[in-house]
Amino acid sequence: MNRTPSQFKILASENVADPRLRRTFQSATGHALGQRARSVQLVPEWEDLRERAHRIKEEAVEHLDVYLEKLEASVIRRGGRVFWARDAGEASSYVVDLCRRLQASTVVKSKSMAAEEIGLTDALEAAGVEPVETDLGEFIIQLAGETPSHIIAPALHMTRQQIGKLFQEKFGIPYTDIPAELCAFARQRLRRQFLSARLGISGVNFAAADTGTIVIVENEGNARLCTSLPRVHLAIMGLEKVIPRFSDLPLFLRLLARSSTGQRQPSYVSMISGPRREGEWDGPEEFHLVLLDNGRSDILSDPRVRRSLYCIRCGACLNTCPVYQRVGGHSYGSVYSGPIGSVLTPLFQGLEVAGDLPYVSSLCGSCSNICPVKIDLHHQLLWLREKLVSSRATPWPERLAMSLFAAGMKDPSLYRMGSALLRLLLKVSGKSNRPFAVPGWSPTRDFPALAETSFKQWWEANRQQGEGP
Amino acid sequence: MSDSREAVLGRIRRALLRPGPGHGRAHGGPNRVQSPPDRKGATGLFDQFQEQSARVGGEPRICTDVEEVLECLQDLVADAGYRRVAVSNHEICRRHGVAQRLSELLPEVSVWREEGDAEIRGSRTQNSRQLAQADLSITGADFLIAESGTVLIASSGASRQISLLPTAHLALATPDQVYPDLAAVFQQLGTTLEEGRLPAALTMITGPSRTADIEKVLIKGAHGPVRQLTWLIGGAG
Repeated sequence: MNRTPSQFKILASENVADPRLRRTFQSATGHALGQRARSVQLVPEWEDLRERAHRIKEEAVEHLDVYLEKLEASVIRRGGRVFWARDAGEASSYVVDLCRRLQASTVVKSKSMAAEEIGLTDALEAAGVEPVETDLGEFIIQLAGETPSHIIAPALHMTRQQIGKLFQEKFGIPYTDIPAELCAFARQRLRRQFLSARLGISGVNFAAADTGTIVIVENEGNARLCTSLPRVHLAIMGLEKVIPRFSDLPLFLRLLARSSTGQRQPSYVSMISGPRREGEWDGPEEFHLVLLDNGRSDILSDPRVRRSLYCIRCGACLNTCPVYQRVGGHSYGSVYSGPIGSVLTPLFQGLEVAGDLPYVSSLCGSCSNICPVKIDLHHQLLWLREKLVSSRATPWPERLAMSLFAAGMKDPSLYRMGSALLRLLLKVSGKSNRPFAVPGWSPTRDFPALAETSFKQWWEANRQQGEGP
Repeated sequence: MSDSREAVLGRIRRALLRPGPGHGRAHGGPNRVQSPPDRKGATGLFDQFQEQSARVGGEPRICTDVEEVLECLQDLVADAGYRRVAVSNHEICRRHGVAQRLSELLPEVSVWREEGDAEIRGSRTQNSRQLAQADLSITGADFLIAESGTVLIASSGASRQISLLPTAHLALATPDQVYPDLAAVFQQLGTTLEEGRLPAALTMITGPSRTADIEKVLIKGAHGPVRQLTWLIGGAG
C-alpha cells in the first residue's frame, strides 16, 4: 500500500464526516470494551498475567535468533518445512512456487495479518491462482475489493444492506439483508472450495519453539477447515510470533480472547505440530511454515521501539483509542490501524511516508493500559515523534514555534515576559476564541477562554490565605 | 533458500547487539502459570464445565450410563429430525459400541462409521464428502476444561473433520477427563505425551462455531457445527 504523509488527514476527514460510520465504530468498539471489561473482572490476577506475558515476550524477542532456530528445528523434526523470507517478495514467491508445484488453481485462506501485510492475495492473483478468503469478514471485503477496517472484525465498516447488495450483484442471488441468511450462503459456497482446494493458507497466533507447535485462534471454524482438509497446509507468521515454550500457551490464551472479544476462550484453538502423523485419520500431508522478516529485524535494531514486537494482535488498543473510535480503521491508510498501527506502519514503511501516524494520538495512554502484554504504546509513539523532529522532517514554522516554547520554558523571566505578551495580544485582538490563524490547526480548534488573571497572579494573591489541605 | 535464512538470522543477531529493555534480566525456566488450586473434585468441576459451556451456547448434560446416552440420542435425533449420523472411531465410541447400538435402535437413520484406510488419501477425501452431508457427528473427547467449558480433541483419537463438517457435533466424555484449566491439561499431557508424541493437531472446542462479522450480530454455525453438545457418561462421581 503506497501511503503519503498526508493520508490520515484526508481519509479521516472523509470518515469523520460520515455519521453512520462514526456510529458504527463508536458502538462496536464500546461493545467490545464492555465485553472485555466484564471478562477481565473475573480474573483477579489479571495484572500479574500481563506482567508475566510481557516478560515472556521480552525473553522471546531478546533471544529471537535462539528461539527461531529452535522453532525451525522442532518443526523439521515433526516433518514440516521452514522457509525464512527476508521480505514480502520472497514470502510471496515461495507461496506461488508451492501453488505451481501442487498445480493448485485455487487456495483457501484464513485470516492472517502477515499475509495481509505482504499483499499475498495480490501476488497469487498475479500468478493466476485464485485466493479464496474464508473468514466471513474477509470474504465480504475481498468481494467488495476493500481492506480490513479492524484487526478482529475486518468488515466492521459495512452495513448488512451493503453486504446484501454485494452478494446480490456478485452471485446473482435474491437480495436479503438478514445476517444469518448471508452467512449461510457464504458457508455453503465456501464448503465447495474447502472440499476441493489443494492448499490451505493460515496465519499464526503463537508458535512454540520447543515443540514446533503453531496455534491458531478463531471463532468461525474456517481456519480449522483450511488446516484440515487440503493436502498441504502453509502457515505464515511474523518472526515475533515465536514464544519459548508450549507451556507458555495457557497464559497467552487466557489473555488473548479476553482482550479481543471478552470470551474466556474462542470457539476454536488449533494447536498444530507438523503434518498428519502416521495412523491419524486426516490432516495435511505437507506442512510449511514461512518465517517473515519484512522489516521486523530493523524494528529489533532500535531498542526503544523493540517492544512493539511483543504485540499479539488482539485489537484491544484499537477499541480503547479515542482516535480510532472516531475515525475507524480505514483512516490510517495501512493494514495495521489504531495505536499499534501508528507505531508499526512508520516502522515498516518509513517515517517519510507514514510520519503522520505517530501524531494520530492524544497520548492519553489508554492503549498502554489495556495492552495484554504491556507494550508502552504511547511512549513508542512519542519516540517516533522525536525521531521525526530530530530528522528535521517537521515543517519549519512548527520547529520555530517549538524552539521558542522550549526557550520560554527554560527561563523564568522569558516565560513571564512571553505569557504577559500573549495575554496582551489576546486581549487586544478581540477574537479570544481564535486569536491566531494557523492553517490546519486553528479552523477546527477553539482557544479556551482566558481567565481574568494568570495563575501566577492568582497564586501570589491567594497563597497566604489557605494553609493547604 | 539457505541464503535468506542466514541473512535474516544475521540481521537479527546484529540488531540484538544493542541491549534492549530488560537487558540482563534472568529469563526462562519452566513457566508455571496456574489458577489457584481447585479442590472442587470431579463433581464440582463438571458443574463448572456445564455452566461455562452453556454460557457460550454449548449443550452439556450428564448421563448416568451408556443406556441413558442412547435414550438421549434417540430423543435428539427425533427432535431435530436428523437423518444422517456419523460416528467416529474414537476409543470412547468403540468401547460403548455406539455406532452398532445406534443403527439397531434407529433403523430409519443412516449411521455412517468413519473408517476405511486412514493411510489412503482417496478414502479420506471420500470421508470429507460424507461428513459434509452429515447432520450429526459423535466423537469422544480427550479432555474437558472446566474453566471455559472447552472440549479438547487430539487428532490421534478422532479425525479433525468429523467434529467440524457436520451440522451438529456431540462429544462423549468420562468423569476422569475433566480438568480445571488448560495448564492442568498440559501438565497431564506432559506426563502421557512427551514432546515428540504430541498429536499433529490438538483442537480446543468451546461452544458452537460463531461469527459476528456482519454488524456484530452473533450467528451460530459460521463454518463449523451450529450445535455443540457434550455429554458426560457415568455421572459425575
